[in-house]
Amino acid sequence: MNNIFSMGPYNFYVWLSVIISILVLLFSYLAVYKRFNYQVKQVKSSIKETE
Amino acid sequence: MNLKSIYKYGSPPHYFKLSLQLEYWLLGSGVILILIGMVGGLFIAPPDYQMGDAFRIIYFHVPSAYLSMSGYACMAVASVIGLVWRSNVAFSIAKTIAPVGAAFTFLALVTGMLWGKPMWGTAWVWDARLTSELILLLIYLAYILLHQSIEDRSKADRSSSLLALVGVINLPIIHYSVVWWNTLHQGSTISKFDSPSIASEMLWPLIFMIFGYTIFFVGVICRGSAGEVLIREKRSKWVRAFIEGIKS
Repeated sequence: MNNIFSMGPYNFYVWLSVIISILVLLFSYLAVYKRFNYQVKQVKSSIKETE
Repeated sequence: MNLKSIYKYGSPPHYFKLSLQLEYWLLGSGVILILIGMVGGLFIAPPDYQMGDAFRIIYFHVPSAYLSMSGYACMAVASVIGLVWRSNVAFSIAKTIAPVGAAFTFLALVTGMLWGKPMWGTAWVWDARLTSELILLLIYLAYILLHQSIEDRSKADRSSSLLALVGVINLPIIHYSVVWWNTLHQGSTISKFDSPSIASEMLWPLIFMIFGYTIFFVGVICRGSAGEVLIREKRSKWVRAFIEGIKS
């Protein structure tokens, strides 16, 4: 099992690239998702104000 | 697709509805393609005869570098459409691409540095390809800052779109930097599809990763631009109907 994950002397560089890539993909979606919810709240409150 | 259907799907309520419907399909299929590409690239593809296992960073570096540039090209096209037709949808797309494109450019730079350190002996050199990619990141950041610094949304849209258009000049510089100058960065590997300089066992996971990243990117833009459209159209009847739909 260990062999599959071993990248020889490049373990650090390869796995760090994998981790950073996954984090950036996750972060890019979560940031956009969170902003969408914030924008919905903003629109809700501005509709309430006009009412 | 005729002009009538372009107008129909380019209208804010249609775009909003369509993008939220497509979002989860795009994200789901993007993640599946990325997972297949990751397994293929990390565990199935053979190690490179010169770079060993370090070459596997290509599966994360190339898709993000490709998206950093194609994302910018899409942002510029959306900016032109926004400026010419004063389209809220186009401005929303351009504004959403900027931070996501910046994140992918950052990823391309970081994975490039992690690849460069063991291969070149240094993580960074002021080489034409690396420098022009860094300039791309700075242009993305300048777009975001300019947009945030102007309070009037329509003025912010127009000025940052103009900046996006000026920045287009950097795209051919990045692409041809390895041809025009003597760089430490290697030349293109798969852009010439008729004769790619990569073995097919190494190529297929890369293609999966590129398509996976691209579809995921579009999925993210769908959600982000839908939110921007909502804000820009907050006085419209359809937005009110959407908000009331959430409440009930």
